Amino acid sequence: MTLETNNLEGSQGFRDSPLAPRPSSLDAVGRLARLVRKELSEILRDRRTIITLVLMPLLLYPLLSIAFQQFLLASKVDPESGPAYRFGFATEVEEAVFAEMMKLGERALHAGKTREKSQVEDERVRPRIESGVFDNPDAALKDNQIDVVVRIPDAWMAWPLEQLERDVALDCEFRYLKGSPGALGALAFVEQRLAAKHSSDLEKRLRPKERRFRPALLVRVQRDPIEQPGADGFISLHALVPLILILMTITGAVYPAIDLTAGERERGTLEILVAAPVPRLGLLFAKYVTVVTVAVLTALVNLVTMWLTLTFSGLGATLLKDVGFSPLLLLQLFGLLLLFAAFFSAVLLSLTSFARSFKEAQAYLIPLMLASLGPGVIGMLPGLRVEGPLAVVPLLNIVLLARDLFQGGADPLWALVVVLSTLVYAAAAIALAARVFGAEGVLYNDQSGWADLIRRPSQPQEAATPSAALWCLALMLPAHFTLQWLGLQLRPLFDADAVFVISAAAAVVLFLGLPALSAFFGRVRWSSGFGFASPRFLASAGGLALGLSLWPWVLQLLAHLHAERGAELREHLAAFLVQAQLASPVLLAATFGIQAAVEELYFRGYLFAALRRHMPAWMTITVTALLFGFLHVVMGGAFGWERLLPSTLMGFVLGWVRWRSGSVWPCIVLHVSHNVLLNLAPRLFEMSGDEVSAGWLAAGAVGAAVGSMAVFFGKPRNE
Amino acid sequence: MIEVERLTKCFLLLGGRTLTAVNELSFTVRAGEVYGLLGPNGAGKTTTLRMLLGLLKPTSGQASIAGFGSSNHPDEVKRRVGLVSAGSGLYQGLTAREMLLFFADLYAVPPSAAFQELNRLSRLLGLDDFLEQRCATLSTGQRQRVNLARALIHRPPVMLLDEPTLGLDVLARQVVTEYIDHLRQEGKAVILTTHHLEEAERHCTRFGLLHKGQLVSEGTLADLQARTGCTTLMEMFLKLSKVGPALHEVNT
Ligand SMILES: Nc1ncnc2c1ncn2[C@@H]1O[C@H](COP(=O)(O)OP(=O)(O)O)[C@@H](O)[C@H]1O
Ligand SMILES: [Mg+2]
Repeated sequence: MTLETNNLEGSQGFRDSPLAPRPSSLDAVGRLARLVRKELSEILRDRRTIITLVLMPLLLYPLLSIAFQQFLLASKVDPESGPAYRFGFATEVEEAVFAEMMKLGERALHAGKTREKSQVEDERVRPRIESGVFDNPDAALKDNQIDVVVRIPDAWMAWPLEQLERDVALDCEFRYLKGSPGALGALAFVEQRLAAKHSSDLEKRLRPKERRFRPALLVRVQRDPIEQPGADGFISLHALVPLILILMTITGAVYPAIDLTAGERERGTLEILVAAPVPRLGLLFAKYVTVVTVAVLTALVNLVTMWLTLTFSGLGATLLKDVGFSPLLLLQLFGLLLLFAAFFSAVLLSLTSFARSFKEAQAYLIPLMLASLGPGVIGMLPGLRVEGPLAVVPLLNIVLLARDLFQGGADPLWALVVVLSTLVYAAAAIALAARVFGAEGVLYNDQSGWADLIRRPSQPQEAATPSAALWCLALMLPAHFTLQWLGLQLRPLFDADAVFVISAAAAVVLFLGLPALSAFFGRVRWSSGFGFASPRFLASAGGLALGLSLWPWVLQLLAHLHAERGAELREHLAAFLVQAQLASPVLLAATFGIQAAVEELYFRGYLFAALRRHMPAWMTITVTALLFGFLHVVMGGAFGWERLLPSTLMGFVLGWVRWRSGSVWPCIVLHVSHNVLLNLAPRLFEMSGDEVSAGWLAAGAVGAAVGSMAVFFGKPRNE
Repeated sequence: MIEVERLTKCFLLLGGRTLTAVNELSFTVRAGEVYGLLGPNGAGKTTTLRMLLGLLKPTSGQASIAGFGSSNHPDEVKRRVGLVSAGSGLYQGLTAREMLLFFADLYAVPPSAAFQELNRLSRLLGLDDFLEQRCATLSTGQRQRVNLARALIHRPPVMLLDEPTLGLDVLARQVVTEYIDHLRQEGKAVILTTHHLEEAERHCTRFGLLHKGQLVSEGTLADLQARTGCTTLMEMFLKLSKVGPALHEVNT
């Protein structure tokens, strides 16, 4: 063994030597990437990961085959003789014409097929047609005696078919229960035959040698899906999709989540890991990315195997016909998968971070698995849609979004809310995990250590941590809907004015109460943590000028946006305005003022200060503005979407004022005066609310310009 | 370099009892010194080191390294410390080289410097043969060597060695012995905890005798000999901690 000495650097360490410059933020990204690479290479070399990757499909396919059987039962498929499609008619003529058309269609299809060998249908699943005449076909449909009601009002014109003398065009209407797999299969079957018949007729007509005139029968098809009553007849494939995705991502994420947290402790690497000067949040984020990656990988392997199974078993042809796998749908499916993985990986990590061993971690996970199946099953209930409060219920919102996507598309804006709120929850869960991971209690098996999680720091802090500030936001969403629900319950007890008092009180609880609690537990200094530094007079005056002059423009923007959604919104608006007309203007002003002030305390106060310590100003302004807009959408109820643009824009203005003035006060002045005027102006100045006059707009523009100048030059002197 | 001032740690036990694992402990260690923190099992040695590193919060008192308090500036402290303890494990899925480079990265050592340091440590500790082997396949002795290298990869001026020879055979112990000599030559401030008194006698420049969380006596071997009249640490230890025969006599 050779012993070298290098006293010069040895006693100093790299940190103080010229070798190691302070890491820049780019280095931080690079380091994060390397952390992820290490975790990934370790986890992917583990035999157990590979087993999960392969074992999963084996576990899943029995389940899937049960689902298929459900499905086959629902569509009355006899695997031996293929499915039977049941059609119901009101008259015999209609039945006869339909049968004749199907016969000709079948013949045309076969004539075509003998030429194009590639398209030959699987003989094993060749469907049968059953048909019947009913007094009340619609009732038979609802009783599940038939799959489709066929109505051909002018059927007599084409009867008998052989004696047709001229071309006839018939309207044919198919009525079926929306989402019924049997009906969708039947329709695809019928439409395929009709199309074959049409094209063969056309071909014959165009044949140059053909001299005899053959009258053609043209059928115009119209689908008429009717909403299902109760929908207890069958489980649709669409409702199963989210459950399958949940299972796939959970199973994929469980092992890496345990291994990367509880596993560290079990192998004795946790202590040396937390003895290194790396922020826990960075460590946990790298672990998170790794878990998401493995979960997505597992799910992808599964999707591919599932797809292969469907294709080669021949079931796919029947099952997936009505799903119609377009590239867009595949992309959406992948997006959903990512979303589920993003959610579960974060939740799993925060749970397993508490665990001190594999066994303990597994014990924590069982309740989670059971709890996750709840939303999966609730998601099958008809009538729920991703909207309003449901769009921010963790997990359930993703399940509903998945279902909506497969049942003909979801509202992209609500989808955005689902994605954003899920990301907020995931971020909160990771922040929690970072707090727990390597905490005394976990590291050294010690009971007193748990108190550490809520113990206040010994030193006062300049600002909250971003995770504490984000936790406030994550708690605000459920708290808001709980308070709103409470308010609705209590409403009959109070007069109209009390509604405003209640809503102001709720705002105080949400935007002041939560951050204040958080600031107390984080021992955050009030002055710096909320940005209470005193601003220059010029900045406050500028804030006031902006607050007094921006409202005509926002009002105009709102009127414009409202116009787009028209009557639906006008009704809501009218109801609100009636209420507002009745209330005293002082009360209204106080309500809107308080609301505005406490919103500022959180967004431009607590959140801004927390983020600003970790990111450049422009990024802080952007993030707070987006979150501000997002919150207004979610909390805005029926007006939600109309508020996204105005609120986000206001968020940018307010963020800029906060940054420029170095204080939250000008923002409060701005927001309060703006909110009061925006809500009272139509009444005070007797405006219609539909259109803002050019005079007001011009005055607003001038005022805004003056205000911006004042804020711009109102920068604190010491900076 | 290392300063410990009235450091105290109480653990809350099940049933509401509290246990004072470390009691008003004070000592300092300068660069170039190897300080032996000696005491029987349960004396509070490990707890002291954990508080020094900021992994445990002291109930009262403070510890600092190079002027940085371990509760206020944990990252500045961690950056300057290398930790070797009997319980440290390795990442089973990584090779020895990957493991070392990963830790270099954690300590933000620039890649080129990490590479150099890896080569130096590899020569120093004889890792060349198994550098590319997965840690899961290493022998106990080889693991210990990787661990010793891992603690030095960021060239910390302070080393905390918590029973580094626990469970090692004679050969592997020899490696640790030379390792400690090397640390002293490099002028690092070292704390070595052990209940192996001969080992401590060989390495340490100064000693602190810890018993039930309290520092019973402190000084160089000569100081201690003069003060107690005993010649070996073993005798001193028995005398100072007033330990009687381990097994009580039972009259039959
Ligand atoms: N996390 C813990 N919870 C409760 N008691 C602990 C904990 N860690 C250590 N102790 C107790 O503190 C005392 C000192 O332990 P330790 O510092 O590990 O001793 P040493 O390292 O000297 O053998 C022991 O009595 C031990 O039982
Ligand atoms: Mg110990």
